[in-house]
Amino acid sequence: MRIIGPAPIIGKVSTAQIDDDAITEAKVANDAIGITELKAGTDGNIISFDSSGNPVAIATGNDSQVLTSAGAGAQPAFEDAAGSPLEFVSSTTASNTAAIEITGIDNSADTWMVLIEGVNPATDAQEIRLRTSNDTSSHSYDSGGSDYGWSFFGIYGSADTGYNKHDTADSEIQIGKDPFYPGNDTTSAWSGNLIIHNPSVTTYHTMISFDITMQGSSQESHRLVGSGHRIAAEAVTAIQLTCGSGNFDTGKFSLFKIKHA
Amino acid sequence: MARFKMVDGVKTQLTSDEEKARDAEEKVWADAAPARAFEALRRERDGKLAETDFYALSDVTLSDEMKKYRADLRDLPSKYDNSSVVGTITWPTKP
Repeated sequence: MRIIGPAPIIGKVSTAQIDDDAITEAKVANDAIGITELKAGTDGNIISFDSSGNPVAIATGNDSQVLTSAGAGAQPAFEDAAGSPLEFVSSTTASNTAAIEITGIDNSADTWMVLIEGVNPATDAQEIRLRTSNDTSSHSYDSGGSDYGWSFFGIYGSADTGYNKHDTADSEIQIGKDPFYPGNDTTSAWSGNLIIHNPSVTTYHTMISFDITMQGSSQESHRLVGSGHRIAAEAVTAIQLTCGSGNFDTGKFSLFKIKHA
Repeated sequence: MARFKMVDGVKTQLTSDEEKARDAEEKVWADAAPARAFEALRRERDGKLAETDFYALSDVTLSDEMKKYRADLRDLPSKYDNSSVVGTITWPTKP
């Protein structure tokens, strides 16, 4: 038989000899298609399938968006992450400082929390005092002799005795008072949390609850639970923590806001 | 020596007015040291008395040594003044 054109090589088929769309799935071996053989696409797109089962490219989305499932029968999409109900706001680390001031408390959340870790005053056995401000910019902290009320119940780890204390007219909220003083011994520390309840409310007093734990000098465990408030129906926009005397040597103070549904 | 405060993580020197207010507060704190020491003494004293309350029940015979120990505990605050109470407290020995 006479052959016109180049003679075919036995056992090989040229691309020109294959009809368009003629390669079926059965003609492709498993694991034969590598990523480099895929047709080029758009940077950042990912592959999914549409309702007909055909492959589709999912648009890239924007920076920090997350891929969110749309459930069965729908393509996923890049979207803004759902906001966490707990949002970090700011952090402060004590460094031989006379006061810790935390501002930025506003009406963007009903509940705010300050986590306190590892407080040691520079001078042994210090009260820890809390004051509030309702200023919106340069903050001054109320310190009148009848500005605050507070109470706490303490469990003292070296005796089967609890300690209750209170004051209905004080110049600060006492969150670390005798016998729950933090000491300057770095083998122990004073830690806990403050919850500021509805700081933007102006129809009643903003309450601040606290829960403190500390290790005593003889390895005992102490716990202090209480609450206090500025005796005024005014917003709380910032808080200040000080020692009875001297500086904070160590301690981390982080502000979070908690949103309700 | 200048004092500093941390405001949202930023170290800032206290103003002159803040320094004066801080000085005044620290003086009040220092002046109250004897009162705090007496409060601590009485708290610990009360705890030690509570530990021996059992011996004072009507159906238990209280030894003379325990009577003296409890009396010494009750009298202990009167043995100190504003100066000595901030020093070392010598506690009676429990029999």
